[in-house]
Amino acid sequence: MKLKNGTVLTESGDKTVLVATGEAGKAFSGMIKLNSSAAFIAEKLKNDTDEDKIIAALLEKYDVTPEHAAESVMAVIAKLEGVGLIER
Amino acid sequence: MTDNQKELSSPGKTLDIKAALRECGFIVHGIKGVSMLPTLIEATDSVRLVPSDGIALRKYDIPLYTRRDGSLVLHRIIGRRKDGVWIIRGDNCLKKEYIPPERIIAVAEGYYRDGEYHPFSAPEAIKQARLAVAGHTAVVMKSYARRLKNRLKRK
Repeated sequence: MKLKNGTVLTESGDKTVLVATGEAGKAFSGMIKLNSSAAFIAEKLKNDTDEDKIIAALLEKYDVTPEHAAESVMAVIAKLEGVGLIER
Repeated sequence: MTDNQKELSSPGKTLDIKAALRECGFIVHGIKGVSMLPTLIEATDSVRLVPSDGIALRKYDIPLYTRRDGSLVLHRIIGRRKDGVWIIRGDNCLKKEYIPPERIIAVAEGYYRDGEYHPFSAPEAIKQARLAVAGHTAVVMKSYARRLKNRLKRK
């Protein structure tokens, strides 16, 4: 599972914004503003990975419970999948 | 980690450009049409736009502006009239447009192609901008010279 080619993470002040360009822009022509943890998850999705690996990385980086980490990862993946920016 | 994402548009819904510019300070948007070829390619490139007051611009900048019919256009500045109105034309267009500063919403900073960002401030992009404008003038002059030559031949 990974972000579609052309999906770009770019900075805007203290926020990260995910934008779809080129091929990815055909599926979604908008922008998604992400907080730091969501940006971290999206960053991991730049390369082929899976939910468990991202949850493990999130637990290592942030002081959160495994349940909370899993919930966040699933929410971000569901959102990105919903707008067609993830390929499996 | 709640409220960790905010979607500024949704599938099937057009991005509210003015709202997104206010919210984010910039937007990235795909290119439609061929009027800015060869600089910008439809369906391949996406431009990064920042808000503009329509005044602090320069020749070769590429502003986003509204036409009288409400449509949004992204073309290049090729000059400025004494009254402050911008003279604008697409790199692949013949017709000029005269746009007052108040109709300008944003200006392109650069573009994404194949996931890579290319700023318009890069030397290569500046060279391309000059070529686009100068090349166009050469094409128009050549066409004018050809027509003049044909007219003289007929006489």
